[in-house]
Amino acid sequence: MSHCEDVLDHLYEYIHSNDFPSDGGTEIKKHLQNCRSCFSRYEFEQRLLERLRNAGCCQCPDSLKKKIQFLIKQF
Amino acid sequence: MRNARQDEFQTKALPLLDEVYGVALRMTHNPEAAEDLVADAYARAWKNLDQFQPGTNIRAWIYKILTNTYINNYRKKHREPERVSLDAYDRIEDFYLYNRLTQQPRSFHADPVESVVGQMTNEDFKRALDKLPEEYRAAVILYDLQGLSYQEVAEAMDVPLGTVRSRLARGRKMLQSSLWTHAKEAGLLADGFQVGSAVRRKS
Ligand SMILES: [Zn+2]
Repeated sequence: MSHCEDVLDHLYEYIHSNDFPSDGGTEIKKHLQNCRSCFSRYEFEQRLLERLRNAGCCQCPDSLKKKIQFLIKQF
Repeated sequence: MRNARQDEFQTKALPLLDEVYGVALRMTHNPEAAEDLVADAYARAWKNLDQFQPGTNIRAWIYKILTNTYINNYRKKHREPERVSLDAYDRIEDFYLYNRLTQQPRSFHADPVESVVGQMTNEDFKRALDKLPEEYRAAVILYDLQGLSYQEVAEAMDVPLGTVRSRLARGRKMLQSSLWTHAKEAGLLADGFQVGSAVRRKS
């Protein structure tokens, strides 16, 4: 698991962290500490996802919250 | 009188409304439709609470109902034409945006990564996401943005694991290539160095 290609294949899973390839998490971590090129990609993809995540953030309208509370009391 | 499932719904599913509404908005592209979708999904979840397995992830269960409701009820009414050339995307390399940006010449005062990822607005990112065909968009939203597992996304979208993986891979490529196109068109790369034939200041 110490080849760049293998690491990059699982990079999103590593970032995601719920889907570590079986016991590969620590190997990837080690590789990223030692490989500048992979680490730089890792940092970039992570940052990009962060921006995408934040871009989608929004508030549920209060009227909808109330509507759902009301629905729940009905049944 | 409430049972344990109802308690869990109140304490764990209701507080998710902000993020679930956000996902619904990205799926439907429309605030009114997103409200209807979330109301439908929560009503269905509440009525079918006995199907929820206590101890499993209620968040994934809510997203499963939301996605199912969207696919089965909502999408038929508002079907969007989606003709994308998948082959074109399969020829795009992984890490497309990173490779494009790091192959740009660096100037003294502008790091291409910084000037693009840092300068793009939330609106730019939302628009790129909204442009994805819906099945790719749903996979990217549920896995990359909401952090569901492959298995949970597969169940939510009712497709095999392999399909989830390939939609994610393609979805990311489409997203990255559309961000790249936008960065070029918006001139985000033009500050500090030249793109193609572009800007050279006369002084
Ligand atoms: Zn490496």
